[in-house]
Amino acid sequence: MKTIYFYNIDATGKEVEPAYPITMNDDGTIDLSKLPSEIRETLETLGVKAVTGENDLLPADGELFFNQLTAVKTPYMRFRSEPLF
Amino acid sequence: MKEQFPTTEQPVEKAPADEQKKPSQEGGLVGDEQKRRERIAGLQRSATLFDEQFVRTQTHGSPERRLQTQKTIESLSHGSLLESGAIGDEDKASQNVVRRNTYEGDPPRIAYVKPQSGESWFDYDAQNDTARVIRLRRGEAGTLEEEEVDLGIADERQKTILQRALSRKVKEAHAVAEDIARYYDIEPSEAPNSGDKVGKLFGLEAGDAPVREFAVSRIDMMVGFDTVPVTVLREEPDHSDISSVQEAVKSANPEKPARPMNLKDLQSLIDQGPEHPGAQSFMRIASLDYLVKSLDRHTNNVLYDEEAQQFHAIDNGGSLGLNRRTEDGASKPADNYHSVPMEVLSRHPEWQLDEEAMTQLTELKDAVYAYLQKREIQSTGSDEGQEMKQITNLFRILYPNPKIAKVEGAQFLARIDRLIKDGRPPVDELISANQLQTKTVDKAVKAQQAA
Repeated sequence: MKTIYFYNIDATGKEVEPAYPITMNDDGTIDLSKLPSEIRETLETLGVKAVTGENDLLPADGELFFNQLTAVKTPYMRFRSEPLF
Repeated sequence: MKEQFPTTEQPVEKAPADEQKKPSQEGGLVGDEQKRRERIAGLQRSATLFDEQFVRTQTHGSPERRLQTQKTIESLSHGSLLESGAIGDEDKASQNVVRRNTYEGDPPRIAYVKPQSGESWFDYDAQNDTARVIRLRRGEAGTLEEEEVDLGIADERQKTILQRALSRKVKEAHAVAEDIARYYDIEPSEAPNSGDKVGKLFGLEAGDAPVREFAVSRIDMMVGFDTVPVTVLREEPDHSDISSVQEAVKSANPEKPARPMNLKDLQSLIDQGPEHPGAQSFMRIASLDYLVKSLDRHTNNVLYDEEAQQFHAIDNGGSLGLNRRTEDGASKPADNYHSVPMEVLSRHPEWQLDEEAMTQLTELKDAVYAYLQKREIQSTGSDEGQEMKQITNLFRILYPNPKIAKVEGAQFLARIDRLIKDGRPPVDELISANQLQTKTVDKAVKAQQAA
């Protein structure tokens, strides 16, 4: 099982507790249930852009989706492979 | 219109072609790295010169607002670095690099910084028909070195699928590069992505995202939309890197920071259209996306400040791409528009750009046309036609090749014309021509219906 973490940011752009874990189980399934509902729904429906930029990866894409979350960073939406706090 | 667009108006710092001919001035640097640094120095000088003239001639917004913008440009461009921190994993070789910096100013400005070296690209090995994802990384000696991005994929089947996709992408990019050369009447080697280094988008030069971020910010200021946070170009003192530095979006309520738009925001916009509280700024982003040919305006690149009920456009590096002409003579963009705001407009044919924005666009157009007409019959003074000169200079900074700068500048003015004529981007036309997909909005609607 692998885990990455999502944090909200404050008004100065710094990440704040708590950490919201996203886990990939040994069978490749992704668990987004611990995320705030609006983030979870957005990722489940709209996904994240693939490395080639040609399509969107969804949780059903397993490892590709999971890795892409930490690979693509925007100032206002960040995922970390290690807990920050 | 196209014929009237000049290639030069006033001195712009010579861009790369001439810069590259200078003898080496950096001890120990040779070849591509020397050329890269000389180009960075040229870009920085051009951007600084542009801003010195630009900020003096801006008329949009209140005097207080314009003064604040000037101060922000000064702080981001020249302010001392007070604090710096990584965004996300610092050590992992990710596909992009962003830092959160604080610069000296009154008050100090928080900004997000994206260096040229942080961009990734696909490196193609023709002999083995394989491609790797590469980015630059600063080595211990301060020099930049190529580094393979670890995509972290353990599953062999998924690795193979990805490798095939990358290889296919590179070959398609090479075919598109020939089409781009045909469109602009340039050598194929002058087109982006014609070599082994291939970017994610076909019509964009990999590594030039900071310049495009800067250009879109200035275009947003020119048209007075006020949707893009102030962005500047800032080089390292030794010219080893250049970054776009974009002021962080500040919410009026510290308890409610600006955040990426989410599925619920999108569904509300689809439902309410022009009645949505943030409709005015959302429509302005859709219009800006049309003007700058946005290729990467997904929901994470649209921020929503709930307190001010205002949307903001960030991450503008994927814009202002080139066109292509296929062998059968058909012309089209090298990459399709990707703009969720434009997608949403397709659901609301009645939604129009607000009156203030239309007035600002019309004033810009009138100033450009008046100058062009006057110039045809007499020589003009150096203080006339600032708007036209600024557009010309901006496109000369963006596109070092004068043929491309001329065509793209003329087409930009044509898009302003079209926006004024229709009062909104021609989204239905773009959808019919397969130049704009509506997949994000379709997914949001489907999810809403399922719920």
